[in-house]
Order: sequence, then structure tokens, then C-alpha cells
Amino acid sequence: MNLTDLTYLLPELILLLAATAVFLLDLLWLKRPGAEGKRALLPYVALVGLGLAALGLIPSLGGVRQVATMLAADPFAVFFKALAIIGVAVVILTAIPYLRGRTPYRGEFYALLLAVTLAVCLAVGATNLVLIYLGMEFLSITSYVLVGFLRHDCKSGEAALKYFLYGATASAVMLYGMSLLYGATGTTDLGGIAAAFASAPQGAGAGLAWLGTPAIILLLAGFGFKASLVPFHQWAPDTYEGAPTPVTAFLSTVSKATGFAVLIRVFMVVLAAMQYQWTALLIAVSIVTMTLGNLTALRQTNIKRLLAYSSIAQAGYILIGVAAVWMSGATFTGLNGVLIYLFAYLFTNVGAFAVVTAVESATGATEVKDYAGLVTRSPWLAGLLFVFLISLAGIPPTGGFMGKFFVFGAAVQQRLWVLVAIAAVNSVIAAFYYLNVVRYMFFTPAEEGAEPIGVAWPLRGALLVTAVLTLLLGLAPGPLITWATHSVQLLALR
Amino acid sequence: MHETSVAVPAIFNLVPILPFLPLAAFVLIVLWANRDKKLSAGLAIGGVGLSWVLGWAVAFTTFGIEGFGEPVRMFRDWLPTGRTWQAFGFAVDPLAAAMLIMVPFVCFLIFVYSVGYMGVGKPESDHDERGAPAEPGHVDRLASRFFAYIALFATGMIGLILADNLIMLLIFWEIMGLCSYLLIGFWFARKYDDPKQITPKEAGLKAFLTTRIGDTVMLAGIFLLYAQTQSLSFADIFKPETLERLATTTVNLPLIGATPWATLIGILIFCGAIGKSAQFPLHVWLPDAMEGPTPVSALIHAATMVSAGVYLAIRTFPLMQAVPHGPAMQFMAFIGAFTALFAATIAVAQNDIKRVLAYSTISQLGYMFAALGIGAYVAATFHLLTHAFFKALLFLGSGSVIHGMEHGHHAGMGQQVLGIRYSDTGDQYPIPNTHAFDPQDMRNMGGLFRRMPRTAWTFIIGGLALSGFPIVTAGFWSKDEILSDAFNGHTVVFITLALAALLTAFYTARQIVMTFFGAPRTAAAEHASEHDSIFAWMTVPLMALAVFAVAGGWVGIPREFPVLGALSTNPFHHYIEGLAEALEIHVEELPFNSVPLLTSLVVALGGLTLGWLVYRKFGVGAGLAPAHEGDREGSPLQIPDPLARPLGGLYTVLRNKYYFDEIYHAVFIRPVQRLATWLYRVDDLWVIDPLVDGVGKLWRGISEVGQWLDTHIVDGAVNGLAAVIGWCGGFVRVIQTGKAQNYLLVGLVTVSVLLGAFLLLPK
Amino acid sequence: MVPLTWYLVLAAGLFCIGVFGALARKNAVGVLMGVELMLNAVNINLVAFWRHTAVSGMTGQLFAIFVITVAAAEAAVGLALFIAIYRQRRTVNVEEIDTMKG
Repeated sequence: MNLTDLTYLLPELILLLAATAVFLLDLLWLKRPGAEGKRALLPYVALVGLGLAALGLIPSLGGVRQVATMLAADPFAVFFKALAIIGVAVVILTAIPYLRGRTPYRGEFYALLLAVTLAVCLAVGATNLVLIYLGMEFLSITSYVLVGFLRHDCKSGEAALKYFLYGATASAVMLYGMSLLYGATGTTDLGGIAAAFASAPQGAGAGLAWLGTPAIILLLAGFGFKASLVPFHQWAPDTYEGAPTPVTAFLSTVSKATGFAVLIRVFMVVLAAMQYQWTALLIAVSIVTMTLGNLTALRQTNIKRLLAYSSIAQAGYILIGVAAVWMSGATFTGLNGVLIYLFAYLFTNVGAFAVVTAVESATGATEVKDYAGLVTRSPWLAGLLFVFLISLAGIPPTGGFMGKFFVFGAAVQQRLWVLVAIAAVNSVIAAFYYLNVVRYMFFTPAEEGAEPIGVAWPLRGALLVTAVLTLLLGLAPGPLITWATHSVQLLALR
Repeated sequence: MHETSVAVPAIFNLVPILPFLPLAAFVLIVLWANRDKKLSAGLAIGGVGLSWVLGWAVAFTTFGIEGFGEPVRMFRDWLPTGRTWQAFGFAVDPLAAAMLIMVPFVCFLIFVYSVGYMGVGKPESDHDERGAPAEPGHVDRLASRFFAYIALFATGMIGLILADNLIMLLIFWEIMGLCSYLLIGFWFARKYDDPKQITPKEAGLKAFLTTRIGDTVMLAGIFLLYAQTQSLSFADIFKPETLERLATTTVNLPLIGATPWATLIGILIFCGAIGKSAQFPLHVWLPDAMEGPTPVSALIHAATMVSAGVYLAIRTFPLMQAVPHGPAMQFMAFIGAFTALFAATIAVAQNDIKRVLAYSTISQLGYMFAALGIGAYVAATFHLLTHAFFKALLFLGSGSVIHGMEHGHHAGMGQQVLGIRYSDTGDQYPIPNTHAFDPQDMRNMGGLFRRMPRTAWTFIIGGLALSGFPIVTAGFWSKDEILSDAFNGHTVVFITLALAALLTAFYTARQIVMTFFGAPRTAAAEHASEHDSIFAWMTVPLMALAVFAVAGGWVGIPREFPVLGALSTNPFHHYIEGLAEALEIHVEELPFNSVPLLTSLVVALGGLTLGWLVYRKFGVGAGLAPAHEGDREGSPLQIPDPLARPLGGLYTVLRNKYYFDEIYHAVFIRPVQRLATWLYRVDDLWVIDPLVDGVGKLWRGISEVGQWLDTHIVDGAVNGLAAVIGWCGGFVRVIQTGKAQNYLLVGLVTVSVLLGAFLLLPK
Repeated sequence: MVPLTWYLVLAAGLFCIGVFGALARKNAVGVLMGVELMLNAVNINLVAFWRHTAVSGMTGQLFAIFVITVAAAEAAVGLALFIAIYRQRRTVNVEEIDTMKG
């Protein structure tokens, strides 16, 4: 550890400082009469913190570096840190109008969002099982608080309870798997474990290598929980429905991406020697996930639940990309598709939830039928939600299409015909329920006396950013593809 | 922008903006002009009109270049894919230029016609609902939206013909798919009394989902092509050495065995064309697409949508032909020829004026695919172009007829004539007035020739072109060329197509006779007229199209044709040859043979005469009657079709379109609905329930054995079990119970099963 | 020395009891206690592996201490959550908290 190492930790340090600052400022201004105006500045303080953290990523660009033995500042980590920072920034914009009138303790919310970003940064960069566990647990615990943040809302509490019980159990199961990995190899360092599996373990641990496969199964429960893969998905619809909508947006994108990032790093790098076993497992999980997610989504009447099941199905598509990765040496052909998908999906889904937030903030409605005639009540919201929905359905010219294109393309290159066929059928089914929402918005008349929906300025900003990027990633995806490809090629240890 | 060719005229630099002119109109209408219907119409017409002028300028420039064949490409890097880039680019070659003559021009005429059809400039009616057809004499309330959509539609087609690679093509292809959904379902609020009749909303969805099936298969083909060639640019794929490699390397398919890549990819891509061009067995969406406004039908049937499928097949023809007369081409010939005959037989028994045309489109597209399948590259292209003109003409003409009938219906109601029934003896008696009147049913028409002369003349010209009336019309030359190509060694295809041509002429004659000749069969037909101001907008495009429906064929008169051949240089063949040479496709002008010529003369004239003979007496003597109640005695809807008795049961089968909709509903749609319901419950009834039961029993066993250990835990377990069993008792059960522990159980049981499988199964 | 296998069997048994508790107890606090048992099973595993197979260093023990600490934090958040829910509904029975489903 030296001073240069610290520069690679800049984003984490800045996020820590910013989170503390927001906490303290909130505390300082809480009881003061007349400080309400100042407290309204807190989300912007948090945004500045995120901006600085993004700048703090600059020293980490373009190389693979080990920091303080347990953390890597490699392009893969930088990609996901950037994703988290952008995602949380947009979530904060949507939260500003949403929280108004729902809770007086708004400052803490932004501090917790910063803390959760810090947790993501630690988890995606960790190269040691101990730090991976700490990062994921940090992420989980802060998320529980965020989900249950509306203390007087019954649904929020119930959502948090389910999330908490599921998360605690899943992390215990994952931890059991980690202990088996440690036992089989005698180390918790990812590089060490990879080396141990690549060559037969020596010493007292010899003969325990067979523990690798049970460990994969147990780890999958923990990662699958975060990424909401079937059958570890059942908390998601209830939690997504009950949580404050900005938190739902966060859980369905950034938190899910973190699950995938850790899964990729552990499975690709550490358990590369056992790719034969886990690829089969992931293919099966992927098929079940997208099919179940889509078919269940068909029956949903609540837009948040619908998007929850859709996001489960999307996780299945993303998993196709992971299962189709073909490794040779240090390059991972096909993995860039996963990163492209996750990045495009981030904007699309956060955008969709931003529209849901706008409608919910104005009317309190979250049922799909409440979207009837949205086009007459707010043409912009209807148009934007249309863009997000076609992106979710994977129709060009949107980012969602690019994601599907690369992920499916990778699967075709690996000749995973059955998987591709099932995914294709699934995307047809999915188009059906996405179009159903479109049908409500454009082709069903609004109820009598429905008023136009106004949108607050910060939310407009969030909608603008997400919509522009969703379309831009579909029209000019060049830079993203280059970036994602670069980020993948350098995913390696030491 | 970089260009490959050395010296090309500067006008080519304008090519990339061609698709974006209508797109600009679309954006402007959506963002700015949407409140002003006239302005919206003006923008859409202006956008596509500019495209038309520039498109013709480009196309005519290429005609002046001797030996033009190699495409002029304009592109820039767009999508990095590994070491290569996908280009964002456009290209012009003879095929694209020939399409440029047709597409923007026909679109432009249809747009102009739409001004009249949508009643732009008329007042809005207070009674009209948003998303339902306007009352006669009023403007459609969503006319601005309509013009925005059709402008986007034009963007899709123009972009598609100019696309330089498959990615671009796919993007514009999907834009069109989206627009077809929006436009077919344009009258989304329209509902019918008969619940079985498909509504526009459903028709739009049906079109979208049906074409999507083909698209998905096509996408697989494109992926494979990319995996094999590392490129999706036409210029790279169609390099002779690449094609050679695709034709010689094989892939082992289950059941089929070694197949050349070119064959597999060709067939997969052709499946996209099957969906888009409504070929058997994905033809079911096209007749229902008639639910859209008539200009949309004209757009879909002539200039855009369905042409896109044929265009794709022509574009990727080098790939199909990489294995000469291989399975890909045979498949295409089979599907095309079969569809041509199949759809023609259905058309014979339809009574809706637009549905007859719809099935004739399916049939004519089958012609084009059959032509491609037997290698008649030039003939297929030629027929695609001529067909676009006369089919657009026929559709717009039918729209004019429908409007005239609605006007007549309206006028008749005003004079209360509709409420009177005349009998042969001159007696009159009143009949209650209802709204159930179908202005599209040909049985309600008759005698419109006198009342709508301009529409009638142009429609008859279009009809004659469709049936291939000899020498004069465009349809004759293009169809004759296909037939003579087929005669040259493809006897089965030749006979099938000849039969289809006979039927085509027959149902065209039937349609013309039933619509325009004889005596009016309803008050609406009696009062139909084309003297409203909106008909000026509608009839001028008809006349312009009629000119092309006749003269368009003269550019392709074979040089060896008796007498006329001496006057002809067959410029079309010569022009497309340049491209064929560049692509190394073997085309030749065949020596003249009198058998196909005589055949096409006989089938065209014979079919027309036969149709006239059979139908000229249709409804004569039945008198004038209201058409609102089908079961009322004396209604024209009760007049039996002359073919109904001789054909017997077959006629019913044809009327019901071979029951394809019903079959698909029973075989695909209902099982999928059932499957969804089933899967929704499968977890509880067959998986989760037994699982929970089993686990519960296990627990109970454990707790009984270990009761002395910890009464508290056992109590909890029993209580838990009671709760679980109580939960099972509920009648409607779903997987998502809302109870956190059930969720945990599912996850943990999965983990246990996987671990158990790992431990127990042999390594 | 007690063989490694004995520790592993003990830990596996403890883990299963924890799973049983997490699945069967109705009171949310009881479920949380089940989870704690599972975590303690992991701790036994970690320390036993550290004693028997570790290459070098104190990683196993360190990991166990981290697990204990994080478990405490988790329990704190969880209990706070339960209290909030108890205030709303006058119950922390997991079976009864099921308004969102389907």
C-alpha cells in the first residue's frame, strides 16, 4: 500500500466522504428552523459527490492493477463502477420529486444511496472472497434499509422484510460455498484459488478439489439472489412492488448488474477449470429464468410487478451471454455482449421506472390500466415509455436491441441453438406484454376527468438522460462496444 | 463519407438523405405540426415528394451511365464488431435505382390520395370518436397522426432499398414492421357487432406477430451468415469467392445431413421474406390488414411492406443461387408457385372488394418468388415494379369506390330512399333503416360505371393489367416474361402459374362486373358519386397510376417478340443485366417461343371472358334493395354466387379461405394460451404442491422421531405444516404466495436437489 | 487431534438445523435466529479448514471474525425492520405478512 495505490481508491474514498458529508449536513440542518431550503440541496450535494467519484475513476483507467492485495482496479471493475455511478445519479434525480411528501427524512436516503454505490464499487473490484462477501453484504444491508425506507407505508415494510429474510438466507448459503472453496484450496484469494484448481492441490487439502462443484451450486444461490435468477427470484416481484420506486429502479439495474459482475469474475476467473460444469448449469438457469419471467409477466396488472417479472426475464437473456462465453487464455470471446446488454438495460429500465415514478408521483397509480390514454394526459411520458418498452423488447433502433444482438450473436457463435431458439420464442412472448402497455397508453381512452400529468424538473432531467442514451446506444453504439470489448479483454488476475 | 467508385456524378451524394426526408416530415409532424392537419399532410407530401424528385434524378442519372452495374457505395463506420466495423451506409445499383423509380413515386401518389381519403380540409365532426373512421364529409380526427405514420413508413421502404448491408436493411425492415402495426390498427376504436369479425386493433397485432415469426427465423440466418463470413455488407458477402466458400462448406443438420451453408442461410433469410410478403403459410395477416385505411392497404400492398420481402429475396439472390438450382431455390419456387395458385383460388370466392385484391396480391407475390426460384431474376424484378403500379391503382380505386358507396349510403339515407324497397312489379314498401351496411361488399354494388366514370375507367385499366390483358398492359409483359422463363425447363411451375393466371383473369372480371356493371343493387350504389371535392385529390393519382399501369411494361418488351420486338430495345433487361453481371448471376434473354405467349394470351383473354360470362347476369332481376339486413328476403347479400352450386362444398372451403385462421387458432394460439395458464399454475398443482407435501411429510417424520428433543421446534413445525396445508387448500393458487418462507423453500430445495444430484450421480 | 471430517459433519448438521429454523419458524426473529445458526456453521467450517488445510496466514480465522461482525450488523438492521413492521401491523408473523403476491 502506497500513495499511488490510494489514487486507484479515489472513487471509493470520495463516495465515503460524500456519504458522510450528506449524513452530517442532514443532521446539522434537521432541527434548525428555516433550514428546509438548505436540506433540499442535499440530493445535489450527493450528485456532486457522484460526479467527483466519476472523475476519481480517471487514474484507474486503462490497466490492470492490484490495490492493497484484495482489490483490483481493472477495466472490468471500472466499467461496473461507472455503471453504478451513472445509474445511482439518475436514480437520485427520480427520487427528488418522489420522496417529497412521502417522508421527512430525505437526507438519509441520499446518503444511503451513496453508501450503496460505495458497496457496489467494492464488490465489483474485489479479488478476495472475504472482500466479495463484505461488499455484497454491505450492498445488501444498505438495500434493506432503502427498501424499507418509507416507514409508514405497509408495503414498503413488507417488501423490506421479504428482501431481508431472503437476502440473509441466500448470503448464508453463499458463504457456506465460500467456506468450501477455502477448504478445497487453502486460500481465499481468487488468483490463488484459480491456480489451485488449475493444478492439483497439494498438502492436507489434496483430495478436497471435488468440493468445487458443490461450491458452485451454493455460490449460485447467493449471486442468483442478487441477479434475481429463477429459482432465487421470488423475492423480487414483491420487493419491487413495495419498495419506493427509485429504489426499485436501483435494485433492478445496478444491484442486478453487481450480481452479474461478481458472478462473472468468480466463475470466469476462479472456476475457469470447471467451466464445463457451470456452463451447463447457467444454460439451464437461463432458460428457466427467461421463460418463467415472461410467462408470469403476461398475467400482471401492476406495472411495477410487470417490470419486475420483465427484469427477471431480462436477467435470463443476460445469462445467455455469460453461458455463451468462450475462453481461451486471458481473452473472453463474447463476454462484451453481457456488458453492452447491462449498460443499455441500465438506462432503459431506470427510464421506464422514471416514467412510473412520474405517474405515481402525480396520481399515485401503479396499475397498468391506469395508463389508459396516457398519450392524451402526457404525450411526452407516453412517448418516452414507448421508447423504453421497445428497447426492453429489443426492437431497433434502441440500446436494448444492441444488447440482444450481441448476446444472441455470441450464443449463435457458440452454436447454442436450443438456447437461441428458446430466447427467440421468449422475445416474441415478451413483445406481447410490452405492447399491451403501449396499447393501453395509445389506444385506450383515458377515464373521464383524467387530468394532464405534470413532471418535476429533476425527473425531466432523468427522463432526458435515459431516453437520449437509450436511443443513442441503439443508433451509435460504437463507443460503448469499444469500451465494453476493452473492459472484457483485460479481465484477468495479476 | 468515402466512396469506392472512381468517377460518379455528384448527384449520388444526395442518396443518403433520401430516406431521411420523410423521416424529417415524421419528426416535424410529431413534434410541431400535429395540431394542424393540413400542415401535417403538406409536410408528409413534401417530404416524400422531395424524395421522389431526388430519387428520379439519381435513377435517371444511372440510366445514362453505360454498363452501370457495380454499386455506388456511401458509408461510414458505425458498429465495431471485433476487428471489423459494420457500416452505416447506402448504396445504389441498378436494382435499387429501378426501385427508386417506383417506390417514392407511388408513395407520393398515395400520400396525395390520402389527403382526399382522410378528408383533410373538411370540418371535424363532433360525433366522431378518436380512432374511428370519420363520417362522410368530415376529416378524420387523427389525420395528423396518420400522415406522420405513413411518412415513417415511406422512410422504412426507401431506406430498405438503399441499404448497403444487412444490418441497415434489418433496421428499416423493423421500422416498417412497427409502422404496419400502427397503421393497420389505425382505427383502433372501431368495433363490430359481430364478435368474430376481426377489429383493426387485432389485425394490427396479428400482422406484427405473424411477420415477427418470419423475422425471427431470418435473424437466425443473418447471425449465421455473419458467423460464416464475418461481414454483413452486401459487397463482401456477394464476392464470388465468399459465395463459393459458402456453397462448398457444409454443416451437418439433424435429420437432413450435410447441407451447404449457402442453402441453410438462404432458406432462413427467405423465411423473413415469407412473413413480410405474406406467402404460405404466413399469409394469414395480409387479408386482415385490410382493416387499415385504404391508402395504407395500397402502401402495404404495392410500394412498401410486401415488396420489401420480394426485394430482400432479389437482393440476396446471389446467396440463394450460390448452389445453382439447389434446395433454397427449389424451396422458393415451390412456395411461390403454390402460393400463387392457392391465393388465387381463395380470391375467386371473396365478396369484399379489398379482400379480393388482398388475395390477388398474395398470389402475384407468389409469382415473383416462383420466378426467382427458377432463376428468372430480371422477370421477377420487372413484375415487382409493374405490379406495384397496377396494384396501387386497384387499391386506391377500391378506396374511391368505398368512399363513393358511403356517400351514396349517406345521400340515400337523407332522402329516406333506403327505407323503401322496390319490387319488380313496382310496389313500394318501407323498410326500417339500420346502420349495418357494408360499403365494401361487392354484392351491394353494381352499375357504378355510370356514377363513378373516372374511378371505373382507371380501375378497369388496373384490372386488365392485373389479369395480363395482351400487348397493351404492363402486366402482360411482366407475366409473359415469367411464363416464358418457366416454360424453359420448369414444366410444373409453368402449369401452376398458368392456372393461377387463368384464375386471376377470372376473378378480376368477376370483380369488375360485380362492381361496375349491371344494375345498382342497393340504394347506396344508386346514389354513389365522385363529385365531391375530395374526389379531385383521389382521382388524379388514379389517372397518373393508370398511365404507368399501361406504359410501364413497354420498357421490358423482349427483342425477339413478333413485330413489336423490332421497335423495342428491351432497356429494362439490358439495364438490370449490368447488375447481374457484377454479381455474376447468369441471365439471358431467351429465344422467342410461341407456346408461353399463346398460353398467356389464352389464359388472360379466356379468364376474362369466362368471368364476364359467368357474372354478367349476377343479381339481374333482383331489383334494388336495402343491404342492411343480410337475412331479409330480397337483400343482395342473399343472391347466391353463380359458382356456389357447381363447386358445392369446395366453394364454402374457398369462401372460408381453407379455414387457415381457424386452424392456426386451434393449433397454435389456443395451445399457447393454455400453456401459459398451465405454466402459471404448474408450480402449485404439480410441482410445488407435491414438493411441499413431500417435504412436509418428511418434516413431520423427523419431528415425530425427535419430539423429545425440543418440543418448541416441533410445535413450530406442526404449526408451520398446518399453515402450509391450509395454504394448499386454497382453490386458486399461484406460485407467488406472498410468503417469504415459501420463496426460501423453493430456492433451498433447488440447491438441495442440485447438490444431491451431484453427490449421487456417477461422475 | 479431532479429524477434519468430524468438524465438517458438525457444521453441516448445524447448517441444516439453521435452514430448518429459517423455513419453519413463524416469528421473524426465529427465522433470523435460524440464519444465525447457518452463519455459525460457516464459521465452524472456516476455522476447521484453517486449522487443517490452509496454506498459510490467518485468513480462515479472519474470515470468521468478519462473518460474526457482519452478522451482528445484519441482525441490527433486521431487528430494526421487525420493530417498524410490528408498529404497523402488531405482528411479526412471517406467514401473515403476505399482502403482495401473484
